[in-house]
Amino acid sequence: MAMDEQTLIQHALKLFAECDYDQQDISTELMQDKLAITPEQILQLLQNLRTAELVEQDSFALTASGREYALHVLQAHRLYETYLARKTGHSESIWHQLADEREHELSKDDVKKLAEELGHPRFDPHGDPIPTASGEMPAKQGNPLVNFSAGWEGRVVHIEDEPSHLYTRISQAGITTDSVLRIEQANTKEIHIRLEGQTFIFPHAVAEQITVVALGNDDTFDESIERLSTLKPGEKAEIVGMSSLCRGLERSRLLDLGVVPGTVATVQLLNPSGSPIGYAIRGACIALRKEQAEHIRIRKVRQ
Amino acid sequence: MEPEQIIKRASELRWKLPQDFHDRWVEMVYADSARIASRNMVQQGKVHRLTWERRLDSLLTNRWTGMPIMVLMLASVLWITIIGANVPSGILATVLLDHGHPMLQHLAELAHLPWWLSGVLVDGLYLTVAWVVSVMLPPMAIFFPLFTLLEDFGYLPRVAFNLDHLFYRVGAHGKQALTMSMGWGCNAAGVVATRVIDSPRERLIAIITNNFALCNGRWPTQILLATVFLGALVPPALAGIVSAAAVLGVALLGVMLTFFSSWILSTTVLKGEASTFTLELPPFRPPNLFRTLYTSIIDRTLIVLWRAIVFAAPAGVVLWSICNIQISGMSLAQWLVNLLDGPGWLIGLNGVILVAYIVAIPANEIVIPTVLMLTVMTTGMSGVGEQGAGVMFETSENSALAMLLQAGGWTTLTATCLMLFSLCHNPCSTTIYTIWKETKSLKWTLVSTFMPIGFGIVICGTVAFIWRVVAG
Amino acid sequence: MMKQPDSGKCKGCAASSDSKLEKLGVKLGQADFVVALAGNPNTGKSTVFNAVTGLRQHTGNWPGKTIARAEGGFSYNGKKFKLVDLPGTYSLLSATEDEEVARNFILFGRPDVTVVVIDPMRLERNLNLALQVLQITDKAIVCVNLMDEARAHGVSIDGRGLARDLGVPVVLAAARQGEGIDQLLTEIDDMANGRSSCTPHRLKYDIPTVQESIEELVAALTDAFPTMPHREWVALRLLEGDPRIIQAVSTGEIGTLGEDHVATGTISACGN
Ligand SMILES: Nc1nc2c(ncn2[C@@H]2O[C@H](COP(=O)(O)OP(=O)(O)OP(=O)(O)O)[C@@H](O)[C@H]2O)c(=O)[nH]1
Ligand SMILES: [Mg+2]
Repeated sequence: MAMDEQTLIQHALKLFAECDYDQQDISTELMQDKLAITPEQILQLLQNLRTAELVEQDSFALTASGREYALHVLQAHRLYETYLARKTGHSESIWHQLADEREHELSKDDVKKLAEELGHPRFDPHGDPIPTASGEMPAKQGNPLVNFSAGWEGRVVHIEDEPSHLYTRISQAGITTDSVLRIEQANTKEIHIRLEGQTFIFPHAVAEQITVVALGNDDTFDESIERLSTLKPGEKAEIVGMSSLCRGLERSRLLDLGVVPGTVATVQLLNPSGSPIGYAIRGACIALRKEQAEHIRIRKVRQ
Repeated sequence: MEPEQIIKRASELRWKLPQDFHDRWVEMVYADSARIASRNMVQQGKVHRLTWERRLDSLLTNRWTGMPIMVLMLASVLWITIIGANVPSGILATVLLDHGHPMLQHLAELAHLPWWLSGVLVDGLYLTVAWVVSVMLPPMAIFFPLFTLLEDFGYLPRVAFNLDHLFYRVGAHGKQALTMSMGWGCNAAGVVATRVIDSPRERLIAIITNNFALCNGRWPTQILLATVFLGALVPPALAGIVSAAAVLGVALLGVMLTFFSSWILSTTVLKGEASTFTLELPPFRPPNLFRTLYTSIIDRTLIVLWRAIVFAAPAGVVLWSICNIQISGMSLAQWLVNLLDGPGWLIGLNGVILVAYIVAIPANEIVIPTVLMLTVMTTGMSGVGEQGAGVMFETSENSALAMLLQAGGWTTLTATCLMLFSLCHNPCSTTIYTIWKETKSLKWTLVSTFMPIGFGIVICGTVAFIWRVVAG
Repeated sequence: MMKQPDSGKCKGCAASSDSKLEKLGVKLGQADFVVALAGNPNTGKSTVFNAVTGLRQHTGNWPGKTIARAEGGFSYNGKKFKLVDLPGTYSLLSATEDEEVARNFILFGRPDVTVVVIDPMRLERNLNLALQVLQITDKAIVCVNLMDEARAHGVSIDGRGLARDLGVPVVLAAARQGEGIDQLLTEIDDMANGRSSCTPHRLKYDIPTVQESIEELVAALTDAFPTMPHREWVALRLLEGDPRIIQAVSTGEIGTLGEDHVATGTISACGN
């Protein structure tokens, strides 16, 4: 990837800030890997960063101004991803790439406007915290999913969006920040995870991208939770919640229509093409596309 | 506190709130609603109505029956319109054209009006308006009430339900089916109706492609041409069915073009994936027959007719004038017609039609009357009065209208291409203005205006070319 | 089963109340009161509007038929009322473009009376909106429309109980048949003239820290915009980060929101 100097500096600063946040040490190898540049270029880059007084002369730590700048880029990137997620039809797999392109063009003012327009979101769609204008971020929590073994239950707090081919697998499974899951099986190559009535098998490389925390006291993994999309005609379901993948206007619209915990839903109208399907919800017939029904969590009610 | 500070404070406070507080807030309201509802509502006994509603619903959205019923429904509406419009159209034409026109000419003579004034008023203004009324009123007075009945019954959302997966595949919004149906009444209304689509990208697609929904200004054109030219190709017993099938074909082609152009847009300039949507399917409600008939005749039919007349009147004056302004021994109209005959021929049309389209830019509904007027004036057939154009929808080969148009050089190809061109050309001026108002963008207004013409030229050109090759 | 209005006028005779109504259509002039018609989509708001004003606002059996606000007038008991038909809306919290027209008018158009038209067959969802409206106004009437349909489905509604629970007058109606319209008019008249009072059902923001945050913002808003209505609601929207409300607050135009989208009788050229 050919990058001009300015862009490269911004990418580097973002990387430094992310590592800082993740409490990960920066090394030239890491830079080489993440920024896809040669060792000579790294030397040059570091020299540039130090002359601009963005990075300390004797370590990899960011200076005050370097940190401010880095947080701005981070804020721009994560806000823009949030914007893409909420306001455009672009597919999840290219959010990161598009945000990478745009982050450099956004001035402080643009970022401020964007934040306002989006209602000052606190987390981007992947669960990464968005720095405020004053540069605050909540503390990081959790461990990678691969660290845990069979039988462990926990909640997803973050999903790494890079590289995109791994991320796509996770998002296609409908796993999001706040998904509650159980590890069914874990071996040296793969990890089988169970959530919402389905089992997904991920190689370690994928599981590596998912950060989880243990369940809180009043939080349990509930085997009986499934997705509305699996409901069949004649069956009855009680809605238990909505995935965080369903957000913005769509989420509040569904809430308004009565998709709230406790609501009973049945299939009322099938569609030959499988989508949308009409569900009887609070006395009305509401047609939902398959992707939407996948975001609604239910528990089947025995009759 | 200053407003800016309040906003700042609000965003600071937001950090402290539980992330799902909107959800919880709605849940609370719902809990209250459910409590109040259960205390004050009683459902008694088994409900037969619900059973038939469900049955009907599954019939209308079924794999095997859903689509055919949709097409059949539209076909029957068209067929009833064509069959039913025949007689009243004839009567209106007899009264307004055969008797009214000569009578007015006579009156003008008695009043000693100067030739140009009586020409402008009687041969221009009156005649165009008379054509508009007799060509448009009957089909509209039948089509609209039928359509409104379907709308009141609750059929439109079912159409959206059935078509949604197609719209999804072309990257558009499912409710575009609804705005398209509104477009079948009026494109300007269809464009405004896109406000129900909340994604800006999909809304733009719905706006740009709305013109492919045949609007009420164009249904009569389709019906007239199909009846006079295509219906006449078969024995009278089949004429109604064949004409209805032809119009249906054009309408469905419009639907296909809607999908096609939506797809083109969503893969090029308006790139993106279809967003999700929620559609509430209302219960079926047996319409109030009398009221529906009454309001749709008053509201839709008369309003549309009035608009047509308002646009037709000045167009009639313009027409009469260009036919009577002589430049080097030839009327201005003739010059224009000769100029446009070449390009017209290429796309299976002729100069008269293209001139008519230019004159009729303000409103689609006056295209056919304009064509007729121009043909009368340029072929020198004094037409109407003596020829007895009375029975306009008569499906025999020697109907006055067919004779008139054949004298103007029309063939079945011309009629076919005109039907296609009437589907694919620029929206009327009102629609263009509405698009501008809704999008506030010159670029998208221009795209919406010129994309359909592009389609029209390509389609008509291809049809004309193949037709001529095949026919030798 | 319907709530009896409590003033001493002749309410019993339908004939007399009928004669008190004069449908003014669009010939409005200066109205004494403004009445807004709110409600979920497809509940029959436009049908009520037509029944009262004698106009022919378009109705249709699908949600989203009305997309812009329409105004008409009627005169009742010698007073002139302006009736405003609004697009249907599922909620005051989230809005598409057409719903925003409704939301802005209900909140900032300062109607004298807000009539919430609800559908008895989908009572819970309709009450969801009704409760939100009751949250922000003291002068509301709930009109349970489509009663003929409810009866056909074996559903019966306890109007009196509903009125007690909601704390506002409730009228059972079937607008298409003209049923209950008289009573609705009486209630509107009484409420507009201050002859009836009500204590609408209010919700508590039972979520920790929300109530305090709202109070703090309301205090600040009162300070900055002394005449602005519905500060609680605005505070809630600010907390949620509603971009359009943030915009309206920062430019100070929050007080004039109800005036946009001014009546567009028929938007379409072709009377659709
Ligand atoms: N049976 C019956 N049908 C009614 C009644 N009132 C309205 N309708 C029908 O319900 C449908 C919806 O009525 P509208 O008045 O268009 O509803 P609306 O609330 O204005 O809808 P939106 O503009 O989409 O929000 C129409 O088909 C009406 O004919 C009623 O009292 N009884
Ligand atoms: Mg309405």
